[in-house]
Amino acid sequence: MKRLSICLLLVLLLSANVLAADYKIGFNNALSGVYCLDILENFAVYGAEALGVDLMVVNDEGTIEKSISNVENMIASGVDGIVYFGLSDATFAIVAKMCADARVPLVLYDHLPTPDTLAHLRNNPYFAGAVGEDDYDAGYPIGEFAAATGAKTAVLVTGNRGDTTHEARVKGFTEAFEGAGGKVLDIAWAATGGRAEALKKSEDLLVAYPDVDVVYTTSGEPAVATMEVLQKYADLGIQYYVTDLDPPILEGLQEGKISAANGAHWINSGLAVALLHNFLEGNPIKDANGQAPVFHVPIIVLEAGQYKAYEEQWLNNMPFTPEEIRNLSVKYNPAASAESFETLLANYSVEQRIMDKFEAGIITEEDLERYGF
Amino acid sequence: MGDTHPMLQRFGKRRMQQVLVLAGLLLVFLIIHFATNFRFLTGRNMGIIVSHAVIPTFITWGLIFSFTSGMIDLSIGSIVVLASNFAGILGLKFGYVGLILGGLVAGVLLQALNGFVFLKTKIPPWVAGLGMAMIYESIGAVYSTAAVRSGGMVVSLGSQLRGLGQLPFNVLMLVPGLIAVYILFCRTSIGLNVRAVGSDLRVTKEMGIDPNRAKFLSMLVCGVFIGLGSAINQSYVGQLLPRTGLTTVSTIFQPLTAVLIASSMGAIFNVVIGVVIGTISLSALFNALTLLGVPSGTWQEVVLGMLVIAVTIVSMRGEEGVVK
Repeated sequence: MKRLSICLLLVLLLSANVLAADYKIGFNNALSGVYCLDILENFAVYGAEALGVDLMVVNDEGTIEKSISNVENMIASGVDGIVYFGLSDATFAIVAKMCADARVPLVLYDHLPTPDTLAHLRNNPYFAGAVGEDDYDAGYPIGEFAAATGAKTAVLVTGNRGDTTHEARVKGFTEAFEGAGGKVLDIAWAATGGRAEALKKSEDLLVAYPDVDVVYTTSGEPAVATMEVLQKYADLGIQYYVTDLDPPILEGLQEGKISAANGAHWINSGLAVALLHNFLEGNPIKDANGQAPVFHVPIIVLEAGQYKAYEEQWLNNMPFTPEEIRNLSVKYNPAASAESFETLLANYSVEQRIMDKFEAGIITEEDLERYGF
Repeated sequence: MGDTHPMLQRFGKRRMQQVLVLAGLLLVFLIIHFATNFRFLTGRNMGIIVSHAVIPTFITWGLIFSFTSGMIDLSIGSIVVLASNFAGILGLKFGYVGLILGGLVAGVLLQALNGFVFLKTKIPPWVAGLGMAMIYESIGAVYSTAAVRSGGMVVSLGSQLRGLGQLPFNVLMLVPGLIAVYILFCRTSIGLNVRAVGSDLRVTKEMGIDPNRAKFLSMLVCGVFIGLGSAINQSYVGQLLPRTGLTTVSTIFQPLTAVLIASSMGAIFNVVIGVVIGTISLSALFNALTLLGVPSGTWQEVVLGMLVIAVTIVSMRGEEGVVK
């Protein structure tokens, strides 16, 4: 009896957090250890804490099978809703059906469904919407920008064939660059298998195309490797562009090793949690057509001079305050609506965030000066 | 000529085969050089090729100890990740000494743990190795997540301690490595016992060799080379991000191919030299394919796959049921 009492007490203590939270939300990290994915998890945890919900995080280990079985496990464990990252468009319909069968609402984050899949998902009453960015839109402006500098040739370093993120970024860059008269000479695929692999592939590529004008790497980790290789070819004056704003990339920007970088780090996951929270609170957010909304997070283009602001207000702090996250949920703000999300996203840029933080008294005038504003 | 001693005849024949293999490689390289508009056999590109081969060479040297004794360990990649990070942490505190010692300590300890688990549980090493890989990957992921939560990333050397992984120091490391592995594998009882255990366990026992001890020692020696490779790797890449999902298992593919290449040339070259030829050939292969404009991610992998099949056939010649 005594042992049983102790066990019960322990269980109660351990589950105190869960009991205190309003809801338990399931969240999948596609592959733990990848910085850009871990940072999304990080912001989801931050958003969940701000909203007072318990976040159950699972690791899909980069495989679709595990991703689907994780959804089954999360449903079985009694989550109130799921915030889901799809490794492939094909998984969205499968996962949405599993959620509908279990009457568990679903919000997609980061990877957005194709128009056909979205139309299908919108027939599902448990599909509460999506928050993400179009990876094509990450590659396209870089291609445009590079072509506008007069560059005529480019090589790309990217992820695996079939990876929707990198395929879309490559496509975006290629169409913009070649549309403006440039030529993509070669693409080093499968460079996301680790830093050493990326170093080798980047170096081989530069030996093959020493006269190239532009190198574009579509992901943070290989981008650091390519940046190091390019230092050996600094005399060639090759322009270097990157998508993903990992800390070493920011340093590269500051040191002038990178011409420009863009990315949409951080926020879609936390906003997806807020979107789901509204649904759970009985306030399903709808778009202007009365359908489950799809919110596009703008791709941030970071210039070298903005490094300090980004480091301090994104890396060392969070870009949004807990209060701003709470304002997105009807529980804390009865006026929360699709417009709340749209307004927040429409104003999502380095400059605007810094000014908003200044006006909120979070940063000082001296900070503004240090950031170059 | 007819009076030549049979030993000298065999030595001469072997030397001739060695010359022929190297000449064949050189011929292939020359063809590639012409096909790539004279960009292949340049001093800079050769440096890059050999430089790319250094880390796989150290890992493969480690593998020949564990593999020869039958300890097929698929957790090598995850050990490299942990050992590289540990080397980086110690390196930032104690300089190059910390970098090398960190790699060595982590490599040897984790291989010792693997050896203990493999030998005590008596389950097939490749199965146990997968389990250990999952554990090591998870440890790395916990470390990485903790770093991200605190606003940072896993240890990064930045611009410090990068010399060991760059030309010419990384290539120079091959020389003491080659001597050490040659002595250990070919001239000490450790190597002899490892080879005996790998050849015939029954005979080994009758020779008075303790197979478990020999296997455990092979894991420790493997750990030394994995650790050294990890230290060089950390210096080369600066930062190594841990991954989960058994993604590290694929790390073993290139060293494994190099082992197969070394085995296929076993009658011509000492396996220790064969490993070096194998890793450099693989590095040259990918470099040449890129220079030739062969698409990566698809056709380059097709070529590697075909090479693996080809060298496996050659290395298994004479075994019953294998195509001659």
